[in-house]
Amino acid sequence: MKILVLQLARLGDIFQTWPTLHALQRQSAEVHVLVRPRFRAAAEGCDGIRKIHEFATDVILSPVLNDARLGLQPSLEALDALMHSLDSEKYDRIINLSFSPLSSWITFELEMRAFQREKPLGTAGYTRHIDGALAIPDDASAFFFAQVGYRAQTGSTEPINRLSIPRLFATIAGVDPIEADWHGPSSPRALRAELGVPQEFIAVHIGASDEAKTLDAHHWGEVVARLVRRTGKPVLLLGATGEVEKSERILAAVETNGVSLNNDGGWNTRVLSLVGKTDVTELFGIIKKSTLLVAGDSALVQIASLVGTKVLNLSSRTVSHWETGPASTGSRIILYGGAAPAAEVIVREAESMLGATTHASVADRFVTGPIEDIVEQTNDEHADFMWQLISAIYMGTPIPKNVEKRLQNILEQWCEVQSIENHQLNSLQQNTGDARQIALILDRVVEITRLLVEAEPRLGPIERWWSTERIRLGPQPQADLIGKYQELNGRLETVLSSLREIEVRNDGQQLDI
Amino acid sequence: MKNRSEVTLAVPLNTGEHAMPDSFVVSEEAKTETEKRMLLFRLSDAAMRIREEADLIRRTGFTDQASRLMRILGEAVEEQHAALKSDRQSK
Repeated sequence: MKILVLQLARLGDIFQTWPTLHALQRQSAEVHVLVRPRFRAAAEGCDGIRKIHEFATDVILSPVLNDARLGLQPSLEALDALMHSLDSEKYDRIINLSFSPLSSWITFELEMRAFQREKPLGTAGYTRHIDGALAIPDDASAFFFAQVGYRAQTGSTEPINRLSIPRLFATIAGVDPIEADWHGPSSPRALRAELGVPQEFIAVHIGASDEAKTLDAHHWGEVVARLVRRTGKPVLLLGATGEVEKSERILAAVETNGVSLNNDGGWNTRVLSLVGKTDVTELFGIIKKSTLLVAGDSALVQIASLVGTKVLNLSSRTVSHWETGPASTGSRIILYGGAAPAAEVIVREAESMLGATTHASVADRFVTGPIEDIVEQTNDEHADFMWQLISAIYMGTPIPKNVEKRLQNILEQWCEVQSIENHQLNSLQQNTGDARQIALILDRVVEITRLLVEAEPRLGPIERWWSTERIRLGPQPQADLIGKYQELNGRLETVLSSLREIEVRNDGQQLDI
Repeated sequence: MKNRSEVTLAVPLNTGEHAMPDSFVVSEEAKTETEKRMLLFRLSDAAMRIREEADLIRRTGFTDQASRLMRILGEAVEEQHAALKSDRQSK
């Protein structure tokens, strides 16, 4: 089977796709990927990939950007050439792991071209219906749309979903990953980089795609100085070319904090900066060799997950550690909201991870491996309830208990609103009402439902599941659509009534959704 | 029930952080604030030019390859526009 995987996002997302690509290859698939040229390096070392294609935005857009009128046709021709070249590969399946409008249209275009060749292909991930509306063909992508992507759309910082992105990607692709699918490149270059590091050291990644996801230079300087002093291990600074200036400020801060760098420029240096000096393949080797990686929310955390290096992840609450946190066994995550954790807190945790001390851990999460069991209970009851609700809706686990009066009141109101919708749908079906009026009332039902969920955000997962399933229905004759709406509403009512009845039934209800 | 065949560019999907586009222009072409501003103008011009073709899309629908390619191009432009705007706002 020949498969094209679309991954048009950044470095970290590409690394998180590797386990899926390895799993597909285990099934003897010939896997090609479509990536952006700027992030091609992140795909190059993956053993699961047979061929890399590029969506060269600059080549495609340059003509129309240089001259909006005369450049339009050349831009369309450049795009057509890419689509033609992809279509001529004659894929059996397209797996879109990008979750963007652009990627959905590319998938659709390739589907249409294959259809016109009378060789229809299978798709997973976002695509389009024939009328241009968004199509979400598989349940895992619908889960992503409803319970993961909404955070970016609404600006929510509440990490409700607890499935990691690599495992979600695998589910969308229809493969079951095994622990061995988390591995780095086996190229001689990565091995050389690994062997080229002569001693044990702690790696520190100083950057991230967004400064809010990492520490500032002064803070890193303090952390690094204490790490060197307390663990006796050298520290290696890692980062991209754009972070060289930051690395210099960190080195200066290390000295200000009383640690001489012993700077001979080689491996005897106590704090060695390789910032801007490594390529992606070398990073794999270096991180594999490191005893510990200390990092914010960055692509290097994903590299460490692949090569099995423990990570002390300082995770900003703007990012979901469940989704993109480290996967390697023994990793720990310290969460922070406003100010980053104090240097002493970070260093004590690192010492504890290295086994040097028995300090009590302050970590918010301990990672037990890439395919660890999903954490059901934390010290955040509110988040636990919402996750258990998601789990009940999508995985058929018992519905969570909550007899709070406020929640029960909102549920009661939601059921009333639902009965209005059902009444209107029946009228539409039996042709006994003014269709335009009914359409207005149905729109109002959606608005009121959203308002109810705004008033009780814990019910958000249900509303997002319900509205996503409606989007998934796609264009069809009105009579069929009404029937599908009614069926879906029946499933919604099962969920709502189960939550309402929990008080008397005392839980244990299994939903089959 | 909404009109599903409405033609708009850059339908806001649940893109998520995982789908944030790179802005090739920010890293490779437009480094100064003036360059970025000029590029935003050029992206806006291109988006407007593509929107002018919305009538074609309405007439032919998405069974027509030209309409689909136009739509992909429109999304690519909108994506770059959004990336550049977000890049400027975050600084």
